[in-house]
Amino acid sequence: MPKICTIYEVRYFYVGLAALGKHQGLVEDSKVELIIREELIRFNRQRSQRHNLPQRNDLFQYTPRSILFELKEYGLVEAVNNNLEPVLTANPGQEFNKSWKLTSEGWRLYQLLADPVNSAVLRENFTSLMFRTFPEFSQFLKALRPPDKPNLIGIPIISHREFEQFSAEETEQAVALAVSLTAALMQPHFKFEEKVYHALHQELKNNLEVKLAKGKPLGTVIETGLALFFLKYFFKGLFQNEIRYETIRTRAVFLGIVNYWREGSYRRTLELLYPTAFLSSEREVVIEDEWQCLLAGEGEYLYIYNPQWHDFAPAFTAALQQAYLEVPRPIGYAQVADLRDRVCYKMSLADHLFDTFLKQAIAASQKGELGIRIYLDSSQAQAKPLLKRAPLELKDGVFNLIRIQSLK
Amino acid sequence: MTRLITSRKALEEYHKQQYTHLGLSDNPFPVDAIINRKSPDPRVNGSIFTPEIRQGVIQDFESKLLGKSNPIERYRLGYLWSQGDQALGRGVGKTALLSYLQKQVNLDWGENYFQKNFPTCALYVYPEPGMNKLEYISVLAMQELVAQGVLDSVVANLRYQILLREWTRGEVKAVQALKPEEGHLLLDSDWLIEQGFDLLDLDDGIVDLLVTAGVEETFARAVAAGELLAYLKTMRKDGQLTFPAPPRDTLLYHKANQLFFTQSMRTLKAAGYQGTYLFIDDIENVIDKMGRRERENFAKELGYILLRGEYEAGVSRFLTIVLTTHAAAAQRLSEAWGLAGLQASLPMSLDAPNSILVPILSMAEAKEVVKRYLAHYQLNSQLEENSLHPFSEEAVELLVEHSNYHPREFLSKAHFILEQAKLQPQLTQIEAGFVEWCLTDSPGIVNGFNESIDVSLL
Repeated sequence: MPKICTIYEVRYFYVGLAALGKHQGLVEDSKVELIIREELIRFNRQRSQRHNLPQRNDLFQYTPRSILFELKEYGLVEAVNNNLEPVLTANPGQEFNKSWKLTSEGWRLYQLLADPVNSAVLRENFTSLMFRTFPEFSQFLKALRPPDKPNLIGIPIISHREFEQFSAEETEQAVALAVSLTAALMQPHFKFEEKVYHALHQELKNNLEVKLAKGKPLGTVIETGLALFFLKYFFKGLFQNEIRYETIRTRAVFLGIVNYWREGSYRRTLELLYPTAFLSSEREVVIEDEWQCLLAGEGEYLYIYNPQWHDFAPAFTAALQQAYLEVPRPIGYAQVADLRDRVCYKMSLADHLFDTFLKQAIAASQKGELGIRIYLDSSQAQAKPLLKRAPLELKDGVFNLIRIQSLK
Repeated sequence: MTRLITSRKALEEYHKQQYTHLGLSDNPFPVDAIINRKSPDPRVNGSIFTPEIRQGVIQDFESKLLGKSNPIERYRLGYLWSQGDQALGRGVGKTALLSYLQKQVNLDWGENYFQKNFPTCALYVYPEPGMNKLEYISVLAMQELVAQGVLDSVVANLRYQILLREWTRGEVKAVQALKPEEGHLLLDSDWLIEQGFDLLDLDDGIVDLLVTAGVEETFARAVAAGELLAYLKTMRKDGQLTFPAPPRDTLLYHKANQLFFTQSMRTLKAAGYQGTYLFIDDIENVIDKMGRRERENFAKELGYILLRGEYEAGVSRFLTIVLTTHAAAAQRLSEAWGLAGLQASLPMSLDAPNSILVPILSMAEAKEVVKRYLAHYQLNSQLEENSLHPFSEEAVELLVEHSNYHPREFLSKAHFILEQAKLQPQLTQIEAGFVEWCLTDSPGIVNGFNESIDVSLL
């Protein structure tokens, strides 16, 4: 079974296609890493410039090969010899003159890259490809939306700094605090039996026993242990570590099949993950205007929540106004990212849909059609593009601040 | 080459004839829609301003910041926010709005505004980028006192006070008979001499009056002689007031805050003014290059002057400062504002009662702006009032939408469109198709397919 590479950003695969496409779809193996790396740097530069962020100095040492590997798994690129015939990996003699070529499907997707209007189509295509290639995505979504449980998963993120006060001899107290903080985060959303917290307690203790002996810091062991415990609890054996979870989760958020938001304070946060799609082995009866159906594999259909503005506008506007009242506004503006998190959570929306609807709302408000006025602004950019803190991108700029005024 | 240059008048006449097929006497729109208050061109100096479309903002400003109903209890610091960042927030109409309000107040020194209860004046300064000290603003403000004629009014009123106060030499009755609108005569040396008044005696009288009111004698003498700017220039080695000053030429800036926030304020008070408004446009130019410590010092100094210290501006609540800002500047200043104690009493927040937002226009408002500019230059007086001719309504809507409702953008694009229309003598009406053709970004299409791929947009 192919293995998912540790690439969070789905658009890196677009970059891989773009890199090959710009070279007539054929690049020698000895040059392909450099070419993809250049495109990755260009992608980051363009994004940084538009978001008014400092330029990042990523080296992309292994990323180009990883991108190529997955594109090959998706059937979008293939290794060819000098005669442009597919290279069989069983024939080592052909490895020396290998080149990488876009397949016809790869060309088709490459053509879509030029116009941002195609972003939805590209997203659909890659969703389908990832689901069909890597069973983890189906397993991930099924764990998130089982028939008999609430459609929510919570992963506590408690900073190691909360435990700096404890020495290595005070593990019992540290673990007790960790369990207590976790319970405080989880209880508003999950009614666990006591045995779950007992099991957590025991696992943390066992972890500390082993890892402190190896010289690992107490706080870090607890922080990691907490997250891993609940990853195992909700996803069973799907994720061996947090990186694997974050890889799939981040891609799934971009593709619009799940979303999450983090509630709590800076050092004590609960990541709440919820589905914005579901899988079915049957063709479900759904409202066509609200659900988009993609083929996710042999006999499996993926339904992605995709409401349309004309019906959704009143509910969206109401949710937007409500969320605006709830978020902090120290200078009279709210952060777009905060509104996005809350509205998406309330309405089980994907982030990209929120942005689309917000743009519609802005256009409608400027024409006086909505009963509210929406004002956008932008402030000093953060040091790097943080996940889930993306600004709203419009034709004339990027905006991370929003103000909503009721006209009634 | 000794060739004579064609007369300017002939050139202007030729230029204006280019627009007659469009029913216009000239291109009504500014090239870049950047206000220059000193320009005689109405398209540029902000005099084409539609108070009706900003009525809500103006009323808000009048009540919250000018304190129209109770100016004595008005806020000492207010904020005029523009929607949009440093790039986009320029050109939404802040300067035009402030210029309009300043003109309204200074027309009769607030007589109409405050029903004769609150003689006041409004000053407008625009700090250049790099003017990162309050002292630079103080110098600009004193220059504005002269430019707006406030100091002339001060001198006239002080002379009026002196002459009515047991002055025995000259025709005092002539002074007593003066109407308010005849105050300029008190600046007319010929008239004063004709009435038998000695100018030097008058100056001495002004100095005495000001010194009694707590003004320093040298400052008082400069005011009395109408030579405040010359006086300020003596404190610069180069004898100028331009920015930046030569290196280590700091005498003027050491004294500037004192001179404006105390000496000038006391002078205005002595002349009968009861308050002053100082509009500081684009505070971001001031704080842009400041570090954290500098922002903190700036905020503390402003707080000290307005709220705590012994500056006349604060002690007698004489001065109200209105800063124009937007979210980016406010976020950078908010920490400093808190440290200066301003965040509690005068928070820099749009939700605060002393904040006003100048938003991007709505479609209806944008059309009104276009109509006003056109009205100034339409040839046919028989056109329906507020017509959009030579544009069709659809054409204007397309233009405004294309410009994201941003006033500076659609005004400058309108200029461009008319310049294109000027070249087509058969064109008498500008339709949406023509606007679209003008605004299509053809160079973007010419670029290669590969160059246009920007994955970060997907």
